[in-house]
Amino acid sequence: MLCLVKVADIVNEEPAPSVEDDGDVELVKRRKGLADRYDALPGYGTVAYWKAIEACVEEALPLELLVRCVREAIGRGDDIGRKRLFEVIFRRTHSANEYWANNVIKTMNLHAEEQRVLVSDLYADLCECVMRALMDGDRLFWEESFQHCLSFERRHVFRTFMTREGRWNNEAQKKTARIPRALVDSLDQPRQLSTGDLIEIHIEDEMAQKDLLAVEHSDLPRLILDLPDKLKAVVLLIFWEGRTEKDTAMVLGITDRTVRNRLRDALEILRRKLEPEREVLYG
Amino acid sequence: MDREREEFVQRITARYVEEVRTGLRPNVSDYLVRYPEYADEIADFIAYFHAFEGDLPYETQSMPVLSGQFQGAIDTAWERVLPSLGRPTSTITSLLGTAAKRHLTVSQLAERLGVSKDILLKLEQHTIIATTIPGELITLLAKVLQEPSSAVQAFFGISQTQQTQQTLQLAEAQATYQVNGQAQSFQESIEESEQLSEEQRHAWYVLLEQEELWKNGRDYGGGTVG
Repeated sequence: MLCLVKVADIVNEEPAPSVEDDGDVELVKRRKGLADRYDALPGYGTVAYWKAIEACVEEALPLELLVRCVREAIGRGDDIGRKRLFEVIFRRTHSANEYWANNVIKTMNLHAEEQRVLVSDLYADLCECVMRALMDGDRLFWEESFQHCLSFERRHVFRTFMTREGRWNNEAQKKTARIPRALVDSLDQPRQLSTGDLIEIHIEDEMAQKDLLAVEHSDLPRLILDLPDKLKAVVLLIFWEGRTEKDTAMVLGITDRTVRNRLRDALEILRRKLEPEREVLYG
Repeated sequence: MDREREEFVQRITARYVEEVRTGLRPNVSDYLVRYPEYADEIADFIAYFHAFEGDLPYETQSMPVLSGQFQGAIDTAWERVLPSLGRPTSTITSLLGTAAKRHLTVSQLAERLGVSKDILLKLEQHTIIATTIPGELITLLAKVLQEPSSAVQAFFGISQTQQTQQTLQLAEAQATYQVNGQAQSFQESIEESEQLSEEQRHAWYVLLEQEELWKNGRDYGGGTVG
């Protein structure tokens, strides 16, 4: 009877509410559109099927559909079909993946040949992770938002790679950190936001604060990435978004004191990271 | 971060990214206020996104030929993955539960399968004798639920090699699931259903005949098949 009770529960329920179900009609339409296109594909493995899979430009299928095709190939035990589908996916996403891999490795300040080898390693790591993710039928969001899942996978690979290379939160590597600054001359000036407001920060580590304020806005995220997770939101809100300590405390639901403590800890870490550059700049 | 939590964060941050890509300047604080329990993960992803993803070229709809360097990297990845490839071990414990995971309601699943809800429930509850279910329906279920056909067959208790011989045993084995303890054939459930449209009923009759599952040599309305 337990089974029947469960069935009754399921019958009476729509899918559980989730983050996207806040009246997001577009998402439901998109899901339906993808399902319809998938259903409309020619019979699996036929010439017409592969023609559709490998079509380019306007006729190219959404990558989300290719994920479903990979999973169908797995269900059918078609290893050759699966590999062929992976090839299509990797070729379609190559430009972004190559650009990303080069970008990540550039942050490491290496010789050209070393860079080339590491780009290959990083790219292979990414491909491996994507293959495993696509073969895991429980990872359903890939079938809805391929690009975003790929971004998440790249982030995961980036962190794992940097940890493996000994460059994740590693003090010994600090001298290789490249922190370009366009606002070096304004080190002694308080930062003015685009809104015209000045950031009010009352912390003891003035040198670190000045250094951080002098970092180009677009370079802040890379510095924030190096911080422990607990400290990231505070720095992001204050330095990226220009919130006050009080605002930040309200947003995060913590006390002003906690914000100050986290900010102090973050700046201490960033100060050590920025120190070598200050030495270069000022001797 | 566990899988469920990660997917939730992915859904949250997908909106942020979409806003950025459409040229808006979303406030990080709006997201952190709305989902405080995920604040650390959201902040981490947003920092990463602006550091490494913000200016990436978008997916191309062309199929560039890859250089030896990158083709080699893909081959390396494939070689790493190969040893861990086994046959699918997917299991289905509930058709409706699996459909719900795919964001399909009961009505939507029934519509996609071309059956009525009452027949779908009978399938869910194993009150239809497994070996009388058309192979086409098994294939369709596998496709809609995105599960291997073998997993759907296993749900119905159909052994791929002993399907024919075990009809009676399977019906007995599933007795605990049956409503009123009465199993019926797929054909009977089609004939009995009050929710099935005539068009659907006819389509199934045709299929049953094609798959040689039609019993009693009855005329099924309309006189001809196909």
